[in-house]
Order: sequence, then C-alpha cells, then structure tokens
Amino acid sequence: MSGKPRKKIALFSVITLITGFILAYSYQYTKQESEKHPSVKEWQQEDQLRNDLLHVQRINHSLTDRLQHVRVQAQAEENKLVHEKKQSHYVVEELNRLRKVVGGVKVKGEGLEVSLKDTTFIPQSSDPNQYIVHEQHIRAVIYELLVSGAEAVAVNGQRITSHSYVTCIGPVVSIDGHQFPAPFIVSAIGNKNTLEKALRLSLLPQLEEDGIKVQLFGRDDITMDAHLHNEG
Amino acid sequence: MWLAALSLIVGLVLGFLSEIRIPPEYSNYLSIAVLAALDTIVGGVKAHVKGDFDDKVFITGFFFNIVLAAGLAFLGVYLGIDLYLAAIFAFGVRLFNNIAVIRRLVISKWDNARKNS
Repeated sequence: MSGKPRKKIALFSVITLITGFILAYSYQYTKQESEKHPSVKEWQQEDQLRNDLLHVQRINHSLTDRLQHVRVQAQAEENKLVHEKKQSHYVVEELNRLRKVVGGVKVKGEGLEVSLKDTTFIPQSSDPNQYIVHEQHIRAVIYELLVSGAEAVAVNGQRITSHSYVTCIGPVVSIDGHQFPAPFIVSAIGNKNTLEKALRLSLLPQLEEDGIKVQLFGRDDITMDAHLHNEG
Repeated sequence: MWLAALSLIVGLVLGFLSEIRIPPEYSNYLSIAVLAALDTIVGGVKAHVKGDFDDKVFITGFFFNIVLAAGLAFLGVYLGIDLYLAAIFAFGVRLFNNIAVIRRLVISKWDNARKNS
C-alpha cells in the first residue's frame, strides 16, 4: 500500500504536468495564431482593401505617367508654336517688305514728282508727234527713277510694278490697261534729292530736247495706293 | 493528490513560459495531444475511482493514444482526408463516457458512505 499509491501519484503527476504543459501551450499558441491571422473575413476584407489600394495606386501611376507625357508634349507644342510664331513674324515682315516692293500695299514717304507735259509751242509745219509725250519718255523716266533708287513708282497714281507695261494708244498712254492723257505725273518714293540729281544729270536735257515740258517737284509726303490687277 | 494538482499548475506555467514555436500546419497534432492528455487523465481518474488502476496501462495508454492519433492525422494529411477528426471524435466520446462513469461511481460511493454513516 505504501509503494503503489506513491508510484500512482507520481505517474499521475507526470501526466498532469504534461497535460498542463500542452494545455497552456495550446492556449498560448492559439492566442498568438489568432493575433497573427485574424479571422478569415477580416483577412478577406483586408485583402480586398489592399487590392483596391493597389488598383488605385496603379491607376495613379499610369495617370502620372500620362500627365508627364502630356506635359512634355504640351511643352514641345509650345516650343513649336513659339518657333512658328517667330517664323511667321519674320515671314510677315518679309511679306510686308515684298508687298511694298511689288506694290501690293499703300506706301507713303518723301519722294519726287516729275511732271511731263506736251509742249505748248507747236510749229505749224512740223509733225505733232515730235512735240507730245510718248510712252518711251515715260518709260525712260520710270527706269531712271528706279535705277536711282526709287522704292516705289507711280504714273498718274497708277502704281508701277515689275509686271507693268506702258504703251501708246494714239493720243493717250495706257499703263497696265488704264488710259491716261497728258500731262503725266510720275511720282517716286525715295530720297528726293538723289532722284532729282539723277534726273537732271542725263534725262532732263534729252526730254527737253524732245520738246517736253518737264517739271520736278520734291515732296515730303507722297502717298501711293496699292496696285490692283484689274485691267481696262 | 496534491502533487498531481501542483504538477498541473507547474505544467501550465511551463507552457505559458515556453518559447518553442511550431509551424501552423502542426496545429492539428497539438489539438490531438490536448485531447489525448485529457483523455488519459480522465481515464486514470476513472480507473482510480473504480479501483482497477494499473500504471502500465495508464502510461502506455497515454503515449500509445497520442502516437496513434498523430499517426492518423499524419496519414490524413497525406491522403487529403481529415483523419485527425476521427481521433478527436474518439477521444471526445471516451472523455464523455469516462466522465459519466466517474460521476456515477462517485455518486454511488457517496451514497454508500452516507448510508454507512
């Protein structure tokens, strides 16, 4: 009786020790696991939220990329625009200059007016052709003026361009299809002194020899209308 | 008897203080171990109350039950069947049976003791 119960109790104690250990360990383990792994529902929710967040972040990322891309594009466009504007500015300037030269626009400036009149003295015996202003006289004046540096030339207000023609139609002169009788006033925009000196140098004596009354007027402000291509 | 209670408390404390970690996939084995331990204790108590306690049966029962249950669970994991449930079921049923037997024996003993006094 003395040996057996003691052994029994000792064995019992060993088993209870093990049981206690396992119980406590299991309890602790479960507690930690539940902390580590929250319930499935919670976990799913978390996963869902994480996925949503990821999705939004991905969208944000792609949008940021796009924004950057668009910004770069916009900058390129702006630069191009500035360049084009500069270019077009030069083009317009050039265009305006060329228009002035070809007579496409109204111009204004100091210049010289040359008045060509048929002579009033007509000897009875002579051919009247010798005493009236011919188209070659007008042409000569125009060429002389252009050569002397005139920037724009007009005859009786009709602008002369590189395409203009001056022809004789009986008693009148046709300039680009517009007919003008004498007297003719050839106006030129340019340095009036230079132009006048150039004319007096060679052309004036010749014209006077042909019996034409020539008068030169230096003007400070001559306005010329644009050349229009309506003939006749 | 006090020693048994004391060792239970010591075991609990040791379990709480232990820092050993097991992988999550072995939690099934842990549950079986818990049930096997409880079953053994209850079985031992029953035998003691009944008066046919045998230390060899007691000790071998504890370890053999645990090994058998663990083996079943191990097999179940590899077969894809939750065989450890069978062990849990068996242990649970036995636990209830043993406790019922203990209850009856204790009640009858108590009744006898009262009649005698």
